[in-house]
Amino acid sequence: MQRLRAVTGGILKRVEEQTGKSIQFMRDEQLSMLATLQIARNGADFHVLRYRPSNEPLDYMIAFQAGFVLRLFENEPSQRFDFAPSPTAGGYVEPLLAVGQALGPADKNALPEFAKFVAQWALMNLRSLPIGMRIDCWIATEYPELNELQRASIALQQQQNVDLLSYKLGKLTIPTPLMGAIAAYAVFADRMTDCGTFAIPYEAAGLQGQGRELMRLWGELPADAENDCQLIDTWAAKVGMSNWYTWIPYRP
Amino acid sequence: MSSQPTSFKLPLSKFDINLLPADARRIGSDAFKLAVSMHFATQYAAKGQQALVSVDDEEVQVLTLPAKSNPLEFVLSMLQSGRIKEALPYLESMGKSDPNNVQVLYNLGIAYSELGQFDEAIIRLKRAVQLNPRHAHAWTGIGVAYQRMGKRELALEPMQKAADADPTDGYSRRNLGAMLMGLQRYDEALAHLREARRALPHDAQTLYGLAAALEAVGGDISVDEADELYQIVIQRWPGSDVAERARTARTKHAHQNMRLRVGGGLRPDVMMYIADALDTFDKVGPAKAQQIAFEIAMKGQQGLDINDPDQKYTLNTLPGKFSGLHLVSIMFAGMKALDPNMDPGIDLKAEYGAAMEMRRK
Repeated sequence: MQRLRAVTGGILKRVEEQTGKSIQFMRDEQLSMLATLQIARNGADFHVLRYRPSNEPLDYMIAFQAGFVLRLFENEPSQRFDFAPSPTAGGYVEPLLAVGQALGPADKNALPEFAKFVAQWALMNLRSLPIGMRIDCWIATEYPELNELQRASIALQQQQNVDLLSYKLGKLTIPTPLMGAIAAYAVFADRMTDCGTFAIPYEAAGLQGQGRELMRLWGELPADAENDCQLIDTWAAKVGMSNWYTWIPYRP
Repeated sequence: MSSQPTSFKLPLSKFDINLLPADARRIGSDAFKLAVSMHFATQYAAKGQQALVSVDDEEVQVLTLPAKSNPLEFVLSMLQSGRIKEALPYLESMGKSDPNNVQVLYNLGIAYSELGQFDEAIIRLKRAVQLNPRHAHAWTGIGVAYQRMGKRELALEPMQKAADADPTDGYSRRNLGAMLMGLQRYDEALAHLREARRALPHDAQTLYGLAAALEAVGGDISVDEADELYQIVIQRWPGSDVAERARTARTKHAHQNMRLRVGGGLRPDVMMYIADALDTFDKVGPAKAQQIAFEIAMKGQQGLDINDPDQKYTLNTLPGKFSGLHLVSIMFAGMKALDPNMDPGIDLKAEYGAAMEMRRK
């Protein structure tokens, strides 16, 4: 893989020291993201860092992924949990999709699959955005060498998120209440980058209040890793997703 | 602050109307559209950016750019990269805020024309030439739009006005020349295409158009010049559509010449070439015959001069030296032997039939 910056090497070393396992690099042309870090489990001797060959620097993405591993292992073993989405989460989305509009036969046919897709997307945001913001703060503070890459990555993510405001399949669109997490992330991105424009589309969509409220909750809880599960639960309660997942004890 | 252009769309049904003045909250009304545009423009301006906002009956589209950038330049780059549909709402937005901007009107007209919305195109382009009667490209755009609509009778006048507006503009001359060719006004077409070539000496369409006009006007000198131009097009732009048209024109012309030399009747030399070729094919077998025919066909891509009796061609698959007509005859025989329905691109059927008859006897 391309040469990583010294600072990124240092972060990966920290992962190895904290978890007691080494990291193996694996090239993956099919990867949808630039890089992922899979924790060693079920007796595996090493973590796997998959990366997609690219001219773009991978350092920030690797640091970001490593942040999730480090935060998990900062907790005592008994306090480590896996986020387990409910297989029936799509069922919670269906009524939200159908509310206030008469759906034709094609939309009705597409409804269950679209609901499943939206549920997965919303759960992924719930799991990754509030903790991801903690990690972004950590990177910004401790690794200023990565700031430029971080800002570029945040801007790219913002563009991808804002495209979802107009995403639709037939008459089906992503329900507004489930957009709160990305609205909060836009508020956060404005603060992190001094841009000030990422939240404008969400304000126009009437989502900024929800985004700010989630950010308020995010700010009220201590930033330590031991509060990560509680942070996610708090957001879930606020956006009505408490029943959509469970926590199961982490098994190495 | 983000220095990259960003864009997003928002369905009108999702827009928070509480952000708008009370008298502008009826979705879809002009007051609503204006207020939405103003909302985004001021929001982004407050953060040191500019926003191009387009509101239609279903959604609002916003393109944000750094304050110091030129929005038109950015939108033109979208057009140049083929993102015409995407660029159109932003051009419309610019047209609304600056209705007398000729450059915006011209590009709107061309964009609509490319999308097949000719009425919309003509409205914008006519407004552009009303504001600037010397805008040759806008006049040409009107003519092209009429032509694409099938209204040839209306296309000529704007194209002539384009050439009058800027007699040095090769693009206008080329289009007018092509238009006149279509009307069979070859002498006039030729004059404009000669001017076009002066301005656009390296433009394949211009060279091809000029060649076609020369051929249409006729006369030995013109036809020779036409043939030279066709050859230039074939050599400089191999594989292009225009090269293929040039090749077809040359073949057709050569074929006509060949027949003229014998008063339109059978060419005994061709008949003999074909009969010899068929004998050779019998000896070497079908696989080798196919190789020979294909080698000649490949050579023919660069053009074979069938009116020159000199034996100036050689083959890897067959010993000896050959004239162009000889090679074409061998190729014809080879292809017909492989597949009687194949079109070898030149009509030697009569000679082929006579050769077959002669061999049977």
